[in-house]
Amino acid sequence: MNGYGTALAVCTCGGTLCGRLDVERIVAAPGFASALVIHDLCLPAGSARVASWLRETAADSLVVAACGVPAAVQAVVEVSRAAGVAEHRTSLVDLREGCAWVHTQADQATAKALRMVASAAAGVRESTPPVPDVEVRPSGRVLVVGTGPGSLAAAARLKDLGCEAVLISGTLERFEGQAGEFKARIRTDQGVECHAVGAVIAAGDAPARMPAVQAGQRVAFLLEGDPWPSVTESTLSAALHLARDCGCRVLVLFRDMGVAGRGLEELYREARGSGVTFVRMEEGSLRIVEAGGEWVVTLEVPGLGSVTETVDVLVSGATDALQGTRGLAEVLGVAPRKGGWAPRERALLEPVATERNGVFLIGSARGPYTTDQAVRQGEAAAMAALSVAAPGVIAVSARASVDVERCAFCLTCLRVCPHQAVTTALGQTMRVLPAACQGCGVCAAACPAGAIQITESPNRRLLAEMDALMNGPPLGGRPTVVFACANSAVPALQALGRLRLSYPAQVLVVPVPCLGRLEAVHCVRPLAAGARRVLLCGCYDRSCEHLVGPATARRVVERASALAGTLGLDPGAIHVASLAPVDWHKLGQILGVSCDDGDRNGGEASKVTAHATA
Amino acid sequence: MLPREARALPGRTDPAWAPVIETASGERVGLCFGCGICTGSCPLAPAMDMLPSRLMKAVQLGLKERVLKATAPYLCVGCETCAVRCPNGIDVARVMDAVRQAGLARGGPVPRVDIQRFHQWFLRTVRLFGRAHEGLLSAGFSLQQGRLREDLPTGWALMRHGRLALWPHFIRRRREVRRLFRAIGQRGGR
Ligand code: SF4
Ligand code: SF4
Ligand code: SF4
Ligand code: SF4
Repeated sequence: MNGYGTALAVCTCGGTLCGRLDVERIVAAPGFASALVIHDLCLPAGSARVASWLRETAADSLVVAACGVPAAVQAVVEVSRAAGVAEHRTSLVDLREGCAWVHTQADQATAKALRMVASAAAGVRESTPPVPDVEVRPSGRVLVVGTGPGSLAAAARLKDLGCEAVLISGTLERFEGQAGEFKARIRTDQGVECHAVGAVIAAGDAPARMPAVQAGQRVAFLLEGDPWPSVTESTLSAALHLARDCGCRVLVLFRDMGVAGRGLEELYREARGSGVTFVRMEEGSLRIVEAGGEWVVTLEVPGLGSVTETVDVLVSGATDALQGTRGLAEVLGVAPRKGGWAPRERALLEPVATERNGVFLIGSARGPYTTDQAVRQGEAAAMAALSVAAPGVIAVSARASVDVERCAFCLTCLRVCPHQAVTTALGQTMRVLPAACQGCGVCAAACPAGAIQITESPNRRLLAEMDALMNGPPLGGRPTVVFACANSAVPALQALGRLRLSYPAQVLVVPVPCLGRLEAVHCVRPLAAGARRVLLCGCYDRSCEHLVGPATARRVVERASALAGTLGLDPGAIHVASLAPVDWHKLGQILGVSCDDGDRNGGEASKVTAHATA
Repeated sequence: MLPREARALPGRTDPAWAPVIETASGERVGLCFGCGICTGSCPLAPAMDMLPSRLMKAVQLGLKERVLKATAPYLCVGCETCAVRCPNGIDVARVMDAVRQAGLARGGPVPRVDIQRFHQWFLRTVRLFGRAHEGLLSAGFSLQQGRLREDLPTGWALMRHGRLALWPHFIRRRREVRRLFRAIGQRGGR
């Protein structure tokens, strides 16, 4: 890297962008050492031309303004490699779906394009070389917790796959480290054992606890609490047994029915057919009074008003080993969710994974599953564990790193990291475990010393990009800054682009790995620079891959609003909006796209729309 | 939504009542999981105080007082749309019937006396002539309700257009129809 200055290549996508953008003005953007217009970046000839031009210009960094298709991304990687420009010194601007296709007025779109290009240039200038890769050497051993059919199936499959399954018969006491090199401490009757393992597959043990009930008594199962438990297999079987075989009157008071799955639907139907009455409770309406050895249960039933039932036996909580599962989840460092079950996020894509890399939960540790479901999950978990625990060497690139010079050792990052990726020990510095870190940036936002750098968007780079985006040619109105979560808002924005739905060019987008990456200063800074609104668009709470993103964002917005107020800026200008990646429709409404298929997504979106366009 | 008076009725459950209605209707009310498809398809639901799906839950719980005070079972016209659509194969109309029967069996005024009288006049004409006779039905019902004066112009207009026959149509073997009525009466039908 002996060059100097930043080079700019603009691809017109076969000339189709020329009418929608003033390409002449864009290539004349200030601050670039040299600039080039091409029409076919994603074809071999085009990328070859860029590579030879780049070698001639001898620039040390490169901004390519094109589209966001994988072929273009690949072309930029190849070009930079061929011309000897470091990969972190290149940046690709999606000028097509992110600008030309979504804005109708060419002059405004061009102004926005100029800002986007300047922002990318500011970003590459502030980029830092990535931390060298770290090698992880898994031993091929996988810890299997639990002795049920799911665990046994997992162990058998692991053996087939050439891994060693460590089946334990004791309680897991401590579990630390990162995928590929965990350390587990297990207490057995004989004492304490320690194991080094690459991954863990855990099943809770769920002995269905049958309540002590006499024939003919009135029984109520009460599935209340926080988080409230679902109606599960063991509750269903217990209720069915009491109603059908013991002549009991059985009431199941629930708020959530978790019966999807093979065998469970049938069980649920059989229970209903045998006289078990299921009642969904209205939140917070339950009252229980004990009177002479009986329980008087009063609750609000939707549409029927308040209902009172007297029972002899009250089975409260679930009959499952919820407490046991909760304890297990705690030791493994995964957060229990609604119903006391372990997380089920991304259930369709990674059905047995958790938010902690290398930790897999199956069967009754995960939810109300039947035996054959647990067996299949065990086998799936064995396959998944293979990718992190198979013997060999895995090179992992660090997505976050701690600057030990700045670190004040406050342990904030250790507490907030949702993936258990920060660690330290007596006499050691704070360390991010690369095989555990998922690059969400929650720690970087929380660190009071600003000591953590996220490889993908270091603090200074993020601020430089934002500032460049805020200062540039006029957009025909005060800008709205959208912080877009990479998991939800970015795909939704791309969908808007592909559908060519137009929204105002005053919308400026700043992608972030997760809304948890943002601090109050990120929200206030654009306001101070003249933005009208700041929107934090990210996932819904329940689907945030990093668990805490939306909640963190709400807290940050609260703080940022107060800060804006004291600075004399509009304290009501900062908002959070929740989206799914497929919610382009809702995002369109928020950004002011005129869609004619009505207000499908309800009031929340239109409220935000009103804010965004007010 | 139930009117306030009905909601104020004792919400005490009577575990013995659900089996009574199940036997009377021949339907397994317990199977209902409250999906609300019956309510969604019922043409009378907008006029009902206790929606069909809620009524099913109320029967399951044994909320006898509230169900017997509800007017919904009287509004049900027995169109059977609910029965066709219920994912659990429950014939809600039969349950409505059983609830009406239970209300009558208990004695005392029913929640919608007018609808009850209308049904009775209808059955009277069937019993007399072997098939329904609108003339007698409307005249008798109007008279009993004390609204003959209001109804007369409508009746006259219908008659002029040949929509309301004065003379009933007798069927043959009327005695067998009467025998049917007697048999139902002996089985507790009302
Ligand atoms: S970036 Fe996210 S996953 Fe990585 S250490 Fe920070 S908080 Fe943990
Ligand atoms: S939050 Fe920052 S200052 Fe605190 S321990 Fe972590 S890196 Fe150090
Ligand atoms: S039969 Fe009765 S309850 Fe069923 S849809 Fe018709 S009117 Fe409604
Ligand atoms: S359709 Fe059937 S199952 Fe659904 S609420 Fe009505 S009666 Fe119950």
